[in-house]
Amino acid sequence: MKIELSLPYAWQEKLGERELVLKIPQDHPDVYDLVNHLENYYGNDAREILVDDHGYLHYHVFVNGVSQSPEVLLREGDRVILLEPMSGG
Amino acid sequence: MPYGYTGKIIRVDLSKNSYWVDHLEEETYRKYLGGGGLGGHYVAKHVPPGTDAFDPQNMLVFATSPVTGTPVPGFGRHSVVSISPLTGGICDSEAGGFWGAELKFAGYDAVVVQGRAEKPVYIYISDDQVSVEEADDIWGGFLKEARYYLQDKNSGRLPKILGIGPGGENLVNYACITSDLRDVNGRGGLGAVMGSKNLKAIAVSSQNRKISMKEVAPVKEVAKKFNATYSEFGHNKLLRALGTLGLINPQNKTGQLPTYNFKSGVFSEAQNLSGETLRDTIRYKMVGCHACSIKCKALVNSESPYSIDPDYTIAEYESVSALGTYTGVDDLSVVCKAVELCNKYTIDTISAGAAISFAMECYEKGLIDSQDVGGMDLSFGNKEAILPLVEMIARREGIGDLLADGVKRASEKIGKEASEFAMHCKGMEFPAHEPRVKKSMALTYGLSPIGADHMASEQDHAIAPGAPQVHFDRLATLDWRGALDMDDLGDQKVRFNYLTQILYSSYNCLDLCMFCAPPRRALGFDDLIKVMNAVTGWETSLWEILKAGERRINLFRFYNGKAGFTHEDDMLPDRVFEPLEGGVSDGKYVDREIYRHAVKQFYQMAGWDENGVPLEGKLKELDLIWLKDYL
Repeated sequence: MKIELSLPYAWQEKLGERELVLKIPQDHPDVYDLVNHLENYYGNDAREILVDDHGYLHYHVFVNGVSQSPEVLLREGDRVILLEPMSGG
Repeated sequence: MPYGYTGKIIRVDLSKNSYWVDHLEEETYRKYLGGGGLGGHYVAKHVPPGTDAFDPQNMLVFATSPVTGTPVPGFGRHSVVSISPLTGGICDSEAGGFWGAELKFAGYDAVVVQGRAEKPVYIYISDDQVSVEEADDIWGGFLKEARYYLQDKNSGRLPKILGIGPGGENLVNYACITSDLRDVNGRGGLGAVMGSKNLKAIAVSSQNRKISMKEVAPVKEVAKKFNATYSEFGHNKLLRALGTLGLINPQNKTGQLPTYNFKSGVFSEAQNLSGETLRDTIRYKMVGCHACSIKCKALVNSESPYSIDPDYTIAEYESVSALGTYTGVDDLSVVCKAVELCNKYTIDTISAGAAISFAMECYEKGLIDSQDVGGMDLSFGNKEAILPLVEMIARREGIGDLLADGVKRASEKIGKEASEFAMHCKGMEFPAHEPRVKKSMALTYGLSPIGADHMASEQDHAIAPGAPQVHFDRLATLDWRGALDMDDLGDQKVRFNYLTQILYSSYNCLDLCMFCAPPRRALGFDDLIKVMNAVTGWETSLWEILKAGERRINLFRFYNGKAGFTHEDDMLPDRVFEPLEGGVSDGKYVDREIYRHAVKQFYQMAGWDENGVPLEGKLKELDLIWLKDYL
């Protein structure tokens, strides 16, 4: 299944390109499945950037522009954005 | 007197050219803490509601807090409190930088100014010396030159200078106050109040470099922990790397980047105004405030096509969005030059951008024409119009004179349907956070006593599904549990907004930087209490600090009620109830009836009447019943 993924700035700093198109073997992955997939390719750095010591995401999840839980089941062609929960400015 | 405070507040009467020192009871400090709380107390006690902002009887309070000047990130800010010429009500505005810490080092908790000088003056504070000096030589000029003038007069030492440029002197209703040229008390037009008093600047210089603390070790432990852990919070990496301008792309991707005077939440050219583009082109370096290790301020330096002075120019998200995406201008050099001009002239970038984009929409709709604007083309996206308009506003020339009054008054003068897209609440122009995507921001903009203020509460994404667990762990301390959609504006979202308006109000009383504060940032609530107790020697608690925050909100609301504010002043412009156009947020809007219901629920939770004025029982609960006798 093809998923478009936009990663946070911290990813770009350490691992480079942050706009990815992933080919996921599962039929209906959730965001944590994407994290596992990224870890397979990029190593432990990927996990350290994206999740905390308890396995929770550091970031806010948007799927096709809508704020979602990371457990939401994704579909072919979904665009997932992981964003810093930032405001102010 | 508790540690942390100096116990001395400078009072200046400019009409009588005299000054003296107030010594407040510890009880007063403990009740109001500092910042907007302490300043609100002074204004409510001495300035009758309904007093015109430019009346000499209006008071300007420049206030710090007991923890201002401690060596912990986030504790270097100060507040200015007064009656706002934009709203007519009580208003406070906060700024970072170094001026607040310098005032504490010099031995003072606050400066309170009343009256009006016959001729331009500045106040000079240097440890035990306070003087009111003539400012004819620097009136009409910019603060950079004023700072060097004062350096020469101060035996060569460069003071920390807080003051106004020509925008404040010309009484632009949203004139701001800057310290060290680029740290800004932006909102509410308090720079115009300074101008109305013929007060050019308050310069502070101290040989002392620390404040009194009961116990130093716990404070240093918190600072050490902050510095070791802050980069674990993802947004701090973004702030450190790109500054707040790092927010442009995320806001755009999620349809919440205000564009074309809030017609849309997406801007096709957003990348041109992004933190990444700034970093790769005209960014000079990243700097920070007193004791802060994040260093989120992106200075701009350029010679061509525009000469942009880094001493004046920080490319912040709010400023670049207001002068860029609101107006449809995607040229980063033009927008940063506009920011420089706003800071030089001291006019608020948010209100200036909102006023210009409002004028652009009036022009496109034929409500004003090229004759009204001196032959300029005010179409959205015309970058040639931005810089001349900023200067015209600051000088109150041509169409700038109308726009300098703020979008509320400008729309009333233009008439017809202009008020439908004048994006303000209570006269305060909208900042760059879209309430149709983050629904509780509609309540924050509507109910904040100072008008549309994006820093008056937490925002919806803090508790959206999938938000980092640390947010929920910390918010449980405030008796909040569970996630809510960003689109939700039901009773539970109202409760969340109510709790976090109190929280953020308490931060205003402590002059604490939101980029360091819980629930989303590196400091935890336990760290906050640890610093407070170590500095002051008190045994305080989160409860007491939140109560000070609640006290500030209720003092402001009650005062404004006496000034004639009603529930109608808590309503929002029509555009908020109309759908956004284009992109991922296409079609999103705030339902008017749901909003009205949410406001009523908030009033009830807060203990307010049908006009949002605190009931007598709430005043008693907060030990504010004296307001009924005074006002």
